Amino acid sequence: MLNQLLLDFFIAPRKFIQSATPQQWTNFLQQAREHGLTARCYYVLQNLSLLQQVPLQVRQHGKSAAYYAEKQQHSLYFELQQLESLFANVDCPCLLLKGSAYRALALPVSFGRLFADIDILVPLDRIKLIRDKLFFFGFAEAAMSDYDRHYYQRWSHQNPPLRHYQRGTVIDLHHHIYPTASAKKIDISPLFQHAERLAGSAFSVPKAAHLFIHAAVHLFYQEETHKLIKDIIDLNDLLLETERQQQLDWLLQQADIMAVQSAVINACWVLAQVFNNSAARRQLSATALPPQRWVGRLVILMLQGSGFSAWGARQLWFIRGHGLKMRWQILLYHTLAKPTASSRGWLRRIYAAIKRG
Amino acid sequence: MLHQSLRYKSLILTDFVINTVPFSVLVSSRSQALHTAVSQLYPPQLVLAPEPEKIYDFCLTVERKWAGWGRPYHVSAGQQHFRMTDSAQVVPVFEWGFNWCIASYQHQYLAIHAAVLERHGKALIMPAPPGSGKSTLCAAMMLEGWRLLSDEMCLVDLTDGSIVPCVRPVSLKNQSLKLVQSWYPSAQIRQITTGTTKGTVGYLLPLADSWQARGQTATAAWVVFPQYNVNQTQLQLSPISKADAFMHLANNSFNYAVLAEHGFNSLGRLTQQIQAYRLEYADIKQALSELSQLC
Repeated sequence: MLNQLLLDFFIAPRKFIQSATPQQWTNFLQQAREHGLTARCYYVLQNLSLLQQVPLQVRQHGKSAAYYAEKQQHSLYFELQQLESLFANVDCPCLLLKGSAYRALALPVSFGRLFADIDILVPLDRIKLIRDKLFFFGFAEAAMSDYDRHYYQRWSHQNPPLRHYQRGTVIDLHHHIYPTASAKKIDISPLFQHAERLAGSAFSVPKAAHLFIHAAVHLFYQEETHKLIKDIIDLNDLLLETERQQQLDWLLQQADIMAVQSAVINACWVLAQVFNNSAARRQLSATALPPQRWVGRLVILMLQGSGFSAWGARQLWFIRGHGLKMRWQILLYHTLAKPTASSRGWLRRIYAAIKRG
Repeated sequence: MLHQSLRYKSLILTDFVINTVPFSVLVSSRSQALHTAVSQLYPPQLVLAPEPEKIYDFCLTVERKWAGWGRPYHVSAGQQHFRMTDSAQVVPVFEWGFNWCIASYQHQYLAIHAAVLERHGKALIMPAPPGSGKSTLCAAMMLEGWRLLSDEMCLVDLTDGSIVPCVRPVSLKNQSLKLVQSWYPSAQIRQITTGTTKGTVGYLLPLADSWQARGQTATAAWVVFPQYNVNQTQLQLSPISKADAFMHLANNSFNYAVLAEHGFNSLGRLTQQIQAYRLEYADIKQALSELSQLC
């Protein structure tokens, strides 16, 4: 329920601003800030020509956040320019994902959207080469425990985050969109196959339908919920973009080929329920595969439920997400080995401290 | 209604607002002591119960939670954690939390880490890093009759270039607490807290005229970069070029980089309208007299 005002805003901005009381605006500003969505709200209002209808104070905070978002976008272009010469010489497709792809394509979803890192997808057999090249561009992995490094290498779908030693920029270098520890085998070859090269750049970007699929897989096949409201708003905007680009039918075909139908259908069910998204309704009626309503209801409970129900839904989601992204034997091993590795490290530090006196 | 909704969220006992300009803060706190302390620092007409017809710029929560022995208070803006503290240091940590909100979230003004004072409608801006004696000099100038706009943050309006006040209690640290009190025995310094990460911290109350004119902007006229240096035998006030002033101001800004071309244009206009100096001094009286002649 803590996100209710934000959700109400994104569901029906016009209606929201007409009825919001000053105390709701106070809470709205707070919630928007917490979720990094203030600038996004500002651009929604700007696109609908509603800025003049909101209180000056709210408009000013929106503008403030928009300045910050603009600065992030400039920084993204700068970083991509720095990386061009590296990726121009690796002789493989290099795809921007998530926020950087949305921005590179100037999609409506990217207006005012903040991002913490640059996500890049490269073929598995090139990831080590590119990681090593990135080192000479100033990007290095942070110190981490042997267990965590092992986890990334064997079971994750990405290299540990690479941070620039001076600028602090973080690159998440992916070789897949989903953890390799999972029993679920997602075929990502269509992403590479249909990717479009950005004009004058070494980078490519996935089709709008693939961007939606990636966002749906990220939310519906994993356990993370700390950015739930942002993820849901992204999905809604991405589905509208897929519709604008007339890729709705293709989206279902691609979901079938990539073996991610349930993520796509469940996402559409939630979008139809929450936003009354017509494209989502159309997808649901165009497929024979029924949505898993309990999955969708868990998401809605986490979004709109209060107290115990939202908490309970989060716990179930956590268990479900881990069950999906790791085969059971790996999950069992991880559940036992991670705390053991942490306590060993802790004991080692205590021992070293005692030895030092 | 506001009380009720906040109580529902986190069983909060006391809510109050600080109606400073240009930014107000809604405080949700379980510490009655914090409310009492804040009431000592701000005028009574600014520390109020939340009013349902007003929008508040920031929300700060000061909650008691268990997080290891000795630091039970958590200062946060919603779910964004700022800092933990024990009860003895709640006041300075709260004040820093308010500064953190402004420095992190507001970009409607160009914000420069500087003290700002005004005389005859003209503003003197004193940007400087911590330890340069900026707050001490600022406190003394206010007590000498200058109007305080801020001891911490110079806000520049991006549209018309005016200097916007952000009047708050003046944070004094360590030696300067005793010095200011000895130079001005009538100065009202409250809430002295020892053992903080910045040493001993106390708050000098702004004088009534500064509070009363808290919404009145000023025109930037002088920028002085102060540096207290105990070994300085003779005060030195040397003019510096506009280009140097621009770069120093940019380096002391919280959001120059965020504002990109807006920051550049705003700072460019500001630099055109000021005279800039470097002030190195050991004796506060000399510094005050020099600045009084200059401005």
